Amino acid sequence: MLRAADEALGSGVRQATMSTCGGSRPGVPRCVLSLYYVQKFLFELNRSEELQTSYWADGRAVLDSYTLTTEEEDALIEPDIGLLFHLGVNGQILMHFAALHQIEWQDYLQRMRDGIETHGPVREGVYAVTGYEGTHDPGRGPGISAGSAEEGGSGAELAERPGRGTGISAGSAEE
Amino acid sequence: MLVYAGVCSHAPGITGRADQADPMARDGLYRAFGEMREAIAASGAEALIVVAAEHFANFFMNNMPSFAVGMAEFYDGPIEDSAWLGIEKFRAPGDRDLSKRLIAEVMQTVDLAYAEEWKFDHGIAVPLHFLTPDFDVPIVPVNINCQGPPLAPIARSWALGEALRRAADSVPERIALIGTGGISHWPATPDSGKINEAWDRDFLDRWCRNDKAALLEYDDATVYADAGQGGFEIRTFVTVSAAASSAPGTVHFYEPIPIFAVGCTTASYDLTRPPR
Repeated sequence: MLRAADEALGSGVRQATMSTCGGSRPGVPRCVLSLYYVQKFLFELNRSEELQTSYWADGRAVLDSYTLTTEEEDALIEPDIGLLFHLGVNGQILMHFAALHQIEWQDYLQRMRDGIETHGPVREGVYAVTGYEGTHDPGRGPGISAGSAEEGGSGAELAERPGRGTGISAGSAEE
Repeated sequence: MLVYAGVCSHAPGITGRADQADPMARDGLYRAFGEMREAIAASGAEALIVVAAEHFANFFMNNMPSFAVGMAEFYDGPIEDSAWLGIEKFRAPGDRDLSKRLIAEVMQTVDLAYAEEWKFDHGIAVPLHFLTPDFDVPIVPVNINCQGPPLAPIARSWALGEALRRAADSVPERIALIGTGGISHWPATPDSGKINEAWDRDFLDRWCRNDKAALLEYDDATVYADAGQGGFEIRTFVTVSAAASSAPGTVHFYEPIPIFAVGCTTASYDLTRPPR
């Protein structure tokens, strides 16, 4: 699995599947490196209040400038956070899109989980490289803290953890 | 001249979701940031280099530099919604001439991009919120691509750190250097809040010993498996290790705070003590 991960990390974002083609603009292929253009749209949207205004006014018209499949375009209009995560959109980009739509943090996380449940493992991009399925196994190894949904109740556990807050140094006797 | 070298976390939840955290853990982190601010001020720093791992705020896969350095008179931020991040819009001072001199020296050994326009995202805005709240110290932002593979190997971050140290020592200004990133974490994914504390503590032990060989053992495949895609940001910490030139380090604060999505950390190297 790690070798596969190495190869995928080395090649970056993998090319979209040709079978997902289906754009509406005549004469323009809408299937090549689709994930790249989904993320590029979100990158530009996150940075530009002007583009946000245009997106709110007529999202379909804005998206016509990008090389997208109909599935991707629909997901960006709805918005379908779960499907976008399944398609491989990086969370560091997606979380701002969710915030733009006033989707609260825990709801954002749940929508991604629902997307994996509905559509299956992440299809492309950095999260797909090691077979990531978007689910946290709390039993994996010692010392792994659980997810944020239960954060409000984790204080007691944290308080009991030895070495809390400090105590790591270079290891020499004089430290 | 380099007068301070340290690292800290930068997660957006630190400011944006502060009300949802365990108050004791949150306040402990805030105190640690305050102590870091005092240490930087006590060093007499006249400029602050921030080695960060930005998150598609300025750099995208259409033209992604492995390393970039800001060269502007000012930097605006945060690029995120202020209410979401919990940080008001600001304009941080830069120093174009200082950046230019530092870049010229770094370029002697490390290829990098420069940027005369740069909007800070939470990766820099959160640390500055605590470390230079009055924006009274010029900032020199440095970015390492930790988000969009392929990434430059960690050994190249070490080389960047060595070059930054040489550059800092080549200018008359007193320079503070911080690296900011997460250790193990799975930010902005369904696994947000997952933290591999054992892995973090092992990494921090290597960092404190400033053990070059141990720090350069990491590769992206194993980091991804054990520490998530957020673990790629250890590059920022490793860069500071190299800049500290074998000085011994101390972790002042470490605490997994799941709602902040990371093992929150402040640590520094003692540049006044001889290398181990």
